[in-house]
Amino acid sequence: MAAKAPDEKTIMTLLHGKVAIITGGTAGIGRATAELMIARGAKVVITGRDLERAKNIQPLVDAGQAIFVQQDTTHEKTWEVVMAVALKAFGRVDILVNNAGSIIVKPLDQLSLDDMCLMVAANLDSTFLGMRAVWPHMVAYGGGAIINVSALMGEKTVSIGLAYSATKGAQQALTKSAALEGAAHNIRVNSVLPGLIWSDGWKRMAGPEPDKTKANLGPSIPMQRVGEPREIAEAIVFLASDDARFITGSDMAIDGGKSAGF
Amino acid sequence: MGLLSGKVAIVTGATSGIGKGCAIEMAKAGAKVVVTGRNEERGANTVRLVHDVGGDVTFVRQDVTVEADWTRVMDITMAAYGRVDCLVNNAGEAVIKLLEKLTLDDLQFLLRVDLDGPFLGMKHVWPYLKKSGGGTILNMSSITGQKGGAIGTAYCAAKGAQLGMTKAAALEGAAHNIRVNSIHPGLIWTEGVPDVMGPNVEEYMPKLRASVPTGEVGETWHVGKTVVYLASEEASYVTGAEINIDGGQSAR
Repeated sequence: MAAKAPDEKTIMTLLHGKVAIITGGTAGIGRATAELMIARGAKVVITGRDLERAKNIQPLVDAGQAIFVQQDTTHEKTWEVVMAVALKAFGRVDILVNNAGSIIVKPLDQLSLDDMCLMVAANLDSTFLGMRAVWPHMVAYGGGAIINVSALMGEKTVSIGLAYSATKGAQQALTKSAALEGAAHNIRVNSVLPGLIWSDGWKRMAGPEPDKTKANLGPSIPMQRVGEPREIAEAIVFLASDDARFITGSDMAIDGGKSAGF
Repeated sequence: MGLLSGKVAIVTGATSGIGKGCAIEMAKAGAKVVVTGRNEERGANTVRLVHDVGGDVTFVRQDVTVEADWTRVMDITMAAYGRVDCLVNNAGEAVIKLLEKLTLDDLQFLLRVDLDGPFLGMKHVWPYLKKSGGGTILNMSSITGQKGGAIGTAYCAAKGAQLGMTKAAALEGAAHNIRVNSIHPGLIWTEGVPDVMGPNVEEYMPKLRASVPTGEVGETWHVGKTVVYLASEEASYVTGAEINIDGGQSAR
């Protein structure tokens, strides 16, 4: 009864012929994912709010493998633009990486309802709107893969991380429910849960001596080091590929062992 | 260049089912594979299948619950290939019975195969991985190692215990660059399914398929591809993790 495994693709062609939308793709994990997906043969639509940061990915655009669309992922209208651009340029959408997100870390007595609403918008509304935008297309075209970039803090949290953890936990539940609904349409929906990753956001928060900050953070992690955006990108590419065909509704921790213990 | 070029992997219980699928996929990705199992005839079949995809493979007869067999597996691996990078603790057994029919022997049998086996495997490969600067261990659990499965009291106990062991070993291995992860397949079609479900398995198939959100039972290569990713450098920051391959079954 067994359908045979697909012919071995070389690593360079794992995503050949596929088109991906990556939100928050001008820096950090999103940018690493865009670069890796292109290296694996995909075409990508990269979205982000900051035109200055979009210069980071200009070489990808110049090479004809990527398109940049300015987008605030929390606004529904922008998703119509992103889908229209993707379909016009590349004719299809196979993969959505809901990577854009935001973090607020404050003690509860300083956390405002505005902060909470901002977290819900950035981490939950954006993921919902992204799935909502690609869903009819994926249903019509026989399937797709959605990867929602959640966080280890959606499962295990820290003090003063209330708003962020709450929305990331909710995002994981959203992912699982969408996976069950997508199963009938060959749409796979999975979460990745990065631990402490040396993203551009961390670099900005790292103070005057970022290398020292990075080294100091290492011992809090079983593997004794902070992770790199590329290491999350590898997991996203695997989940997006046909190699992961029976994986849906899962959440995959990529955290150097942080969540395995206390 | 395959993802596992230059690497040597040991896969237990590779004479059939998921282990066989892992051996084939790892070989396709460039690894040299040592396949172990109790049945020599079926072992020869796996060797033939790995040869068919152009792989380098050695079969070793092994009962994973016997410590002396592990010494022999390691000796033969080192003699043949001079190194080991990955261990897939795949060999396992299932007993599916109502609690009141389960015997203490049933439980102890499962604990021997599903817990002692991977424990001995980790213990024997550990010094080699430590010495060579790291490596990966993949322990084959099940989605029933995370959630209960009806009439699976003994099986769930063994697979859940294995998961705890995996996480503790991951914490210990992290300092030595040894990554240890737990794989949780759902319903995967193998030759062993009729053994567990009985000879009328075709009658059960529609019900089995319907229990999976995607409406299909998985194939062994689905697990094999995941094992290749986790054993490769691409998963360099993944350790102590649980990876589910189940068509969404555990999401509900």
